[in-house]
Order: sequence, then C-alpha cells, then structure tokens
Amino acid sequence: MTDYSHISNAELSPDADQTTQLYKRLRDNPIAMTEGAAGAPQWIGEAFADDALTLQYLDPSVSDPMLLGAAALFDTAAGNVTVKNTFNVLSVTQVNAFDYEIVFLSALTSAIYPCSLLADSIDDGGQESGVLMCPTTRTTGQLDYKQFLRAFDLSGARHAYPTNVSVIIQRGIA
Amino acid sequence: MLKASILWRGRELPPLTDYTPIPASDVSDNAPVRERTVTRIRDNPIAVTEAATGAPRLTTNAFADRGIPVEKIDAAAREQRLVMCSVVLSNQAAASPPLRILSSYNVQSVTETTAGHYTIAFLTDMATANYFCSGMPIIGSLVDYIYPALDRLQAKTVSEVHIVTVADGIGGGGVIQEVERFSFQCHGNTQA
Repeated sequence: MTDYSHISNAELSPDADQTTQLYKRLRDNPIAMTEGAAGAPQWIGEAFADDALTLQYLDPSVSDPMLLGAAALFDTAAGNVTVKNTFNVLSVTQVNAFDYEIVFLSALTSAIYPCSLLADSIDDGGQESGVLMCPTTRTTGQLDYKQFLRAFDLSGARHAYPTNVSVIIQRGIA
Repeated sequence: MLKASILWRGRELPPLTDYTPIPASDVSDNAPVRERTVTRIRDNPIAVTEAATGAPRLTTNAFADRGIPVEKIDAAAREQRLVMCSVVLSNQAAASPPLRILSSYNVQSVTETTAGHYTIAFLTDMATANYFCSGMPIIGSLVDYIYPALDRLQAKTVSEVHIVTVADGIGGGGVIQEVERFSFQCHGNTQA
C-alpha cells in the first residue's frame, strides 16, 4: 500500500523549495488513490465515462444473482414452439407433449439459479384458468420444465398449451 | 510521435497516454528535478484514467461507497440484464385505499379495472412488446392458491401489461379472484 500525503498550496508556491520529497508525493499520491489508501480521495461515479463499467468489472458474487442469465418468450402449441424473443438462449424445444427444453447459448455460472415461468391465462371450458410450469431439470446449460393446467379436478392434473410463456433465469454467464 | 486513435462504441477516444513508473532514484533526496520526472508526474494520473499498460488499476477500496450510479454501467448490460419493471401490490378490501403499491420500479400506475384484473403502466416504455415477465403471489388465500397470469384477452404493449390473478380451487376450475399481495417484474430493453 502506498501512503497518501496531502500537498499544501504553500508547498506549490513559486517561492517554495522544490524538494524531491514533494516530487515523491506527487508521484505516490495518484497510486495511493488507486489503492484506496487512508486519507486519499475516493473515486466517485462521475469520474467514470457513461457506460464505462462493463459486467466483467463487477464483483460476480454480488452481480451474478441479480443479473438476467437467460430469458425466453414463446408460444406453445401441440408439437410446435414459436419463439418471440430470447436472451442467451440457443433453442426452445418441445421434447414431448407439455415437456420443454431450453438450451442456453453460454453456460451459466451455477446450476442453482432462480427461475420463474409465467404465461397467458387459459380459457378452460369457459372458466379462466392458468398454467403451472414446473422445472424438472436444471443444469448450467439448459432448463427442462413441464406444463400443467392449474385448474385441477379430482381426476388428477391436466395439461395445457399456453401462449406468451416467459422464462426468466437470474444468474451470471460463465 | 503520433499515437493511433481508438474507436470505442463508435466514438473516437483520444490517444492513450503512456504510464511510466518513476524510479525512486528520481525522487530521492538531493536528486535533481528533471523534466522527465515532471512530465511523468503530469502524465501518469491521466494514464491511470485511461487504463494504460502498466498503470495501477483501481481497487475496491478506492471507490466511495454507493458512489457509482447505474448509468456508468454499460448500457447494453444494464438494459438487457437488469430488471426493467417491478412492482409489489397489496389489495386488501379492509385497507384504505384497498389497492396499494408497496414497492415499484419504472411503474407509472397500477389500475384494477375489474376485480382481479390489473393494468400496470410503465414510466418508460419498453423497446418492444416482447419483453419477459414473471409474477408470484406473496399472500394469497388459505382456501385457494391464487397466482398471477398474463391476461390472454389483452396483449401486453410497450407501455403497459395486463395481469389477472386466478384462484385454483381444488375440484373446480380457475376463477379470477383478488389476491391480497403479489409481485410482478419484467426484463427487456427500454426506449430510454
């Protein structure tokens, strides 16, 4: 750590002795500022150019859980997926009826990530209902999930093909 | 000697300033003050701001707490990867007013058009209507599980999104019903 030493105006006046000690502090103080030395002025946000901080400079232990790692918006139908928008998603595939696979373009930093799924409501025989989407497999490279109609009856769970399925995954990208 | 200019995000940056360490012998007792020393003292702090080769990098302690506003984060990362709208709603008949925004970001207003139907209007529009949404109940009902869904009868737009809260009664179909509290958020680029 380099010491920070304040330089007074008197030391910079034309009549002052230009000692090498002064030059040593002129040399060291900017270095001490980069190190956050005691007493050194700290950098504030306005010192940075707009957009200057790319994600690689953020502490991943803090930023990764907050960042969008992958997202997709798509319609589902029997045997068919229509993708409307994606972020870091290579493909959305219906692997079996009501059974979907989302493959990421770049792997995520962890397979333990929060994910949420939301879709349009469903007309269930004249009653408004919704769709429950349950993740079945989560890896750093893909998410698998199933679609259930939320309006259960006593005969057991049923399924549905909703539109505007949103998948949001919060995690950093490796 | 002229230095090559650098294009960064379509903007030409000034030529980089060299960072040159100043040896201890140049600032030791009785060392003569040389022009090269004074020049380096002038140029090195500039070279630090430009992240020139060999220049010391800023460490965590160098930053003031809470000192960096969000616009200093790269716009592409900011808009694609951060939440662009979020709201936590409370809707309790006994409260006054019944519908309250407990927390929000980029939300102009929330309107309950009919029971269980909500319109969330953004402060700043999204760039397209194809943004990503999620929502969860926070407090529902002891009898039914109540959860939000996008209203299939009203497509979301760049300026607003329509939510319904659906109750899932055991042995019966879904029905639109008010929920005591739920959260909603979306990701996507804004037009700002």
